[in-house]
Amino acid sequence: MSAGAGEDRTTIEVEVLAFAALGERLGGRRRRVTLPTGARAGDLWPALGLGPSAPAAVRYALDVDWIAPDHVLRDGDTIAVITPVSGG
Amino acid sequence: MIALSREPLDTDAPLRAVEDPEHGGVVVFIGATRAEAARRTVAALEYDAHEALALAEMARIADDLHARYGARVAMLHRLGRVEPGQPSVVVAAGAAHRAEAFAACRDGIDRLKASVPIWKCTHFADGGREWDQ
Repeated sequence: MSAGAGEDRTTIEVEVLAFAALGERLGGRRRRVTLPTGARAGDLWPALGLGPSAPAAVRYALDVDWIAPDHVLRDGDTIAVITPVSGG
Repeated sequence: MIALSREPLDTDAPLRAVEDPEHGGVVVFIGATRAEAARRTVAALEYDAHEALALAEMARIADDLHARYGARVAMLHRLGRVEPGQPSVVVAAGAAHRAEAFAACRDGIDRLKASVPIWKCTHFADGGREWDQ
C-alpha cells in the first residue's frame, strides 16, 4: 500500500476489542496493537498471537460496522474481533 | 424497541412496542435459559456482548424485516447472569397479517442468534464453566 501525501509512518496503532472467550484468552477486552502501515483486519489474529490466521467464521467490525478481513486498517481505528456468536 | 438489559426482562415491553391499530397480527418469541446443557445441570447462564455493535446489528435486522415484511420488530436481550427458567431474549413482530408477523418474528430470532455479537457462558452446577461458540 502506498502512503498518502505527507505520510511517512511505517506503522499504525489500532485498538482491538475482544469479548467472551476471546477476551479471556487475551487477558482483557481492550488491547492496543501496532501493525505495519497497510495491514488488514485479517492481520490482527496473528498480531494478537492467536495463530497464523483466523478461523473463517471470525468477523471484524470497525466501530459498529462490519468490515471484510481484507479491509485496510488506519491508525487510531477501533476494531472488534468477533468470534462465532451464541446469544439467544 | 431495541435494547439490552442487565435486569430481569420485562417480556411485555417488546409487545407494547409493536402494538399498532394497523397490525392484525402480533407474534412474540421468548427464549429462556434451560436447566440442562450437554447432559449437565446448569446453575446459570452468563451473557457477554459487544453492546454498541449488538444494538446496531439488532436495529439493522429490524429495519431489514420492516423492508421485507412490513413488520415492526422489537428485540430485547438479557446480559449478565441469568438463572435457569428466566427469559434471556424476547422478539416481538407486528404486521398487517399473521403470516408476515410469524415470518418476521422467526427470521428475527434466527438472525439475532446468527449474527448479533452476544455470547453465552454456561455455568454448570458441578462447578465448571464453558463459553458456547
